[in-house]
Amino acid sequence: MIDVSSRDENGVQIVEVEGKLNTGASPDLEKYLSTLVEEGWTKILLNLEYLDFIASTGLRVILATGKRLVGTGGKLVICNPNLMVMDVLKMSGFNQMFEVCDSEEEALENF
Amino acid sequence: MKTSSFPGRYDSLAKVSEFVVNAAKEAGLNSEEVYAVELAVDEACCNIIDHAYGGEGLGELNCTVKVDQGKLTVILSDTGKAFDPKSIPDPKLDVPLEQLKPRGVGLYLMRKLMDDINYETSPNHGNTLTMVKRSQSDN
Repeated sequence: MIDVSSRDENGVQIVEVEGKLNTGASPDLEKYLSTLVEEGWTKILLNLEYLDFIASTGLRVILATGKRLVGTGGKLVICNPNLMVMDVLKMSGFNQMFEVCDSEEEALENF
Repeated sequence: MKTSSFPGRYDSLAKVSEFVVNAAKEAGLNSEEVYAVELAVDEACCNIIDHAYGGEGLGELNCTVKVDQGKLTVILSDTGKAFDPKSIPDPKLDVPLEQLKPRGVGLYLMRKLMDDINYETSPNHGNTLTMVKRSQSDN
């Protein structure tokens, strides 16, 4: 359902999520992000450029990860959501809880 | 009107999604409206599995779609525990991140995304959730 990959950019883990983050796929992202947090990464940038769909279970994974990072003095930032994913982020208030940027470059400046 | 039954498991949701998305396109809904239907149905099915059945593999998800020009009706039924979406308040979204409770967001999205939502429950027929999405271009 989703492909997740990540890379390090000066201490920020840039996580690219591709596909449909529906209820069936959300546990895969949860495992991936949990592993990063357990490895000690405190700055995570979620690049949603290739994410076609997000359900509330996916939002919960992002929220839970964001909360964990805040607890460790870290941060989660989101970038490049498509228009429909952005609509869902707005409807659920996530654009108020997290910084949502139009590009990776802009997002990296927020750490 | 078409009806299909799926096992009440998370890995059924892609098939449920395909079933309703095809119907939504047939009804002439635009891509944004199709997305809304897909998301609302994913949320509703998740609630049925989690709350009505209390877990995966404990019952069927029955999905009926009724296609009219510019209007799609989706009827989801189950035989699990009664669960009235109206009884769940909207989540408080204007609180600091640390205090936010993630539950209730799915129902909130369903209410925002669909034009009509109706829930009925009966001892003989189980629970029935009816959701309607109308095309903006026909309004």
